[in-house]
Amino acid sequence: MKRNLFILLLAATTAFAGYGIYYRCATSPARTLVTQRGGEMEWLRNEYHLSEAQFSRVQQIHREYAPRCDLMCGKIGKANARLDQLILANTTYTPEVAAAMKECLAVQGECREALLAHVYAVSAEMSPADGARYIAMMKSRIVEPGVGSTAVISQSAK
Amino acid sequence: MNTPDRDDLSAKLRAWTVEPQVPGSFQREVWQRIAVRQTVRQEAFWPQLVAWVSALLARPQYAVALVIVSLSVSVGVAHVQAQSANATLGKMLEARYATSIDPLAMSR
Repeated sequence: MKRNLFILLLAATTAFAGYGIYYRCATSPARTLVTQRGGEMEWLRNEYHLSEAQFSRVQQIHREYAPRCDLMCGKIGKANARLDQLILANTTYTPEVAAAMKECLAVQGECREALLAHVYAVSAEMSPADGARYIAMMKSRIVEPGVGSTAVISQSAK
Repeated sequence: MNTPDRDDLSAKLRAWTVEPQVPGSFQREVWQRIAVRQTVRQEAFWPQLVAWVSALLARPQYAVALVIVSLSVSVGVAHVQAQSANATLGKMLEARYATSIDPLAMSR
């Protein structure tokens, strides 16, 4: 009886240990990337099978793009804040609100253009198949940022 | 051929009614007996199972097989769950990457 109990306990212990060890080992790389600073670039490297040379070129493109991205981010923030202020300060659609709205849309358009150019530049460094997959992944953010591309369908287009 | 004795018997038979006397506790007793039999059967199942497992585990090849099967099942479950966790973490990293190059997302 004791021997049987020992065997059952051994089977249960082995099962728990096997589960724990396998799960930890299998998820460790992804968990490390999530917690590590700049893990998203490492994720890009793994996900799109970038070689050392490809990855260093992509990093270079990313470094060149980062200050422009920051600048545009600031511009969007300013334009949004101005529009926000004017919408609350006015009760009708004044030329000032219209101008602020146009400014907002212009800045957003500029950003999306820059983003698309960056996406093409990065995808050009990848293999054709991975590049196409990368463009498809980024497409939704450029076509309709914040909203799924299938969510905006006009009644006449149906 | 009717005789007075036969007529008498027939009359008695016609008049005869049977009124069975069922004890008041009849139903309760039946259910009690059913419950007792069920309990006995259930109690017999577990000792039988334990005896069967003990007999199997007494053989080393079955004991080893049990450990291997337990390990395989647990690793299989861990594999499926790890895939799901990796997919979720991958989506998080994808969103983080996209946000890092999207000024519109960064300004939100």
